[in-house]
Amino acid sequence: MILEEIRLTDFRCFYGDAFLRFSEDPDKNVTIIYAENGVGKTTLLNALLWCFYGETTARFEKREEIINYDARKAGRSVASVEVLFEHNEKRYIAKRFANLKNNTGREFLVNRIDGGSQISLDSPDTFINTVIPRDMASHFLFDGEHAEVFLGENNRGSIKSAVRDILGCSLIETAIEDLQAVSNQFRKQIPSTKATRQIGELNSRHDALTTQIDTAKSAINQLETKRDQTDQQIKDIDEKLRNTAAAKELQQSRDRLTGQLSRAQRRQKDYADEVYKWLGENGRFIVSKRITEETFTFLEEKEHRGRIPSPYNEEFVKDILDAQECICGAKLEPGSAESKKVASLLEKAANQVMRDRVSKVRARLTTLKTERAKAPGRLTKAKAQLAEANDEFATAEAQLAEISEKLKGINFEDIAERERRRGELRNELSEIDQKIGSFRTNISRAEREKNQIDSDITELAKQNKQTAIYGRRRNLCESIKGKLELQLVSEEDQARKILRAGIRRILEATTRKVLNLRMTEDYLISLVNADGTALPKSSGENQLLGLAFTAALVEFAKVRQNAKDYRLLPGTIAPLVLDSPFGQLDEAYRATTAEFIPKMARQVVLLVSKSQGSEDVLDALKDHLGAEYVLVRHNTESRGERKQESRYFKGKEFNTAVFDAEFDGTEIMEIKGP
Amino acid sequence: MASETETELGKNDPIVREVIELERSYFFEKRNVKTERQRKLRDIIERHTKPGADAHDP
Repeated sequence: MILEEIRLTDFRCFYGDAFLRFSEDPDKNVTIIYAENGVGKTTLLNALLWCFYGETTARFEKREEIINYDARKAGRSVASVEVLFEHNEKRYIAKRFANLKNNTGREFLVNRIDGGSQISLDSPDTFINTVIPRDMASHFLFDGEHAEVFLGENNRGSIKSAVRDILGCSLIETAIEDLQAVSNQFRKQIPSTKATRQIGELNSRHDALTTQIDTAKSAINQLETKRDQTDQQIKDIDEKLRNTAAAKELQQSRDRLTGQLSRAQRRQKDYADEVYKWLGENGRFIVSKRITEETFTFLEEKEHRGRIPSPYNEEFVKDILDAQECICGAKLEPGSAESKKVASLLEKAANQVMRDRVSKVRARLTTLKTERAKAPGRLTKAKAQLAEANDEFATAEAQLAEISEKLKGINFEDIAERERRRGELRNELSEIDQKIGSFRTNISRAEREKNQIDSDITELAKQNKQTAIYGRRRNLCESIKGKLELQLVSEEDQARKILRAGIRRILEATTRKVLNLRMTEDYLISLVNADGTALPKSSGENQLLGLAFTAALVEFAKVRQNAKDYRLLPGTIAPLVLDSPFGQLDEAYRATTAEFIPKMARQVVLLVSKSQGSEDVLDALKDHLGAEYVLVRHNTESRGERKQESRYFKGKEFNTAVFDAEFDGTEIMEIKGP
Repeated sequence: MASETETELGKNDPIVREVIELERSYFFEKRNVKTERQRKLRDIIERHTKPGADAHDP
């Protein structure tokens, strides 16, 4: 489908007739519509949805009020939207009317434009659904402000259905459902015979199990809703706690100072220990200073007098006495005066033990002297470090006391109460999870029993001629169902791979960080940093992920346009209408994303506010812009104190808000020029 | 050469096609047609399980 033109008559904020031609140029494939908030961007997106399907997005306020308020006041009762488009090289016009007075006429028609005439199609709804199936439409008509809905855990259902829609598996899904229903009908129809009496009992058990499973599934649904609500409550509390700005800042400082205090405390202890350790190891060097000095003096004095080392060797004197002969040859008779004189030398003689002792004392005294010289350096250093740690501790303590004073002015009871409630909610969440787990276990047990009963019934039915036919019918249902189920699994698996690759490629081209994509079997997608931490859902990167997901789906639908498998609904080439796609992206991301947008689809319609359509964005898009419009708000009221709102496009000034106007509503103005 | 299982599954392909065609013919209809659709599906299954019919009986 290629959009050519949209015509609006008294539709919502568009008073009277308004129209807009979309760019069909494949090179300049972007139509951009500038509008400030509340002027009609989302209305334009919804005009397309309403025209094709008679529906609007869930967020569209007062959805039932289609006719413009002033038009109603002026007595008009019909609003309409007409969309001209091309599909498979033929031109069509789709028209939908809302008539306040008459609900009996045709509300929707599609005419094929054939030369100068129009031929009305018999089944316009069916036709539109073959062009863009309704279920797929919300992915092509993209509400960027809520791109993140695709990402939340609460929305895994919508992601799964989006993929299945694009996958075109709806036929298989309904076939599986119908085959199950028909198989059950056959089971219940098995006539009662002697041989099949048991089947009756098994049927009752089967029905009871089905009821049990249904009840458990419905309980799980309720619990999951409650889980989502509880989860949301926790997130709200987290947000409030995070946003208690004053407390937050002070608390951050307190956390930092508490850390500093405890580090200073550790250092205090370490350095005090070092001082004690030093004293334990080196105290004797200081204490022994005097005795060492005295001993050295004594030894030196004795050496000086020749007393040390001793002039006589005890062993040598004893040898002379034993030999009774002096080294000069003189005889030393025991008891003689000569012998007594020599023997008297033993009083001054030193033996080996004594010499060793003196040598050890000297060595020990030398060590004491050396260590004592080193000792003061280590002690001084340890003392300085201890003093430093003491100072740091005292400063941190004083600052903490100051913060504590400041925090007294904040309502901590409120914070504490929130924290307490948060704890309660987390407990509730865990209880809910346990209950869900237990229900799931019951379901899987009941399903196993049910399957066994199913197969028992079929076997029993086969044993009797009258009932065998039902067994065969059920077998056939189950066989086809199984085959389709297998295909569904394989198609989804394939789709998951293609989508994952598509999203990765888009993210690589647009994000500045190295991000990893996670996609679970349930299509729950999230982004994680290189270190594995998940990015917050509200981040710009995650909005980009929502957009990348849509782009990957559009691409996938395009690839599937020529799907040959008769079991699948074909894909489609559809225009991509993006309402505020840059919501939470920062300026740099907006520009990168803008570069990428023209490549997202054959035709792109971009609805942007002033802040979103910044210079960088427009610069990135400039080579692809095929048509430009601005939505101007008309007000019957006078300007009063309001400032004039205007924007410059292609050198011309456009007043985006007009006062003292004839009507309240929106005008579409084309921006022309070189 | 196809395995025995593949051959057996392949035997039901025309019936699968018929079932999908039935689903397709109802897919774009807005009205509540579930009962009618399932009745027609029953007809298909019954037709293919008549004695001498082409359906494979696993």
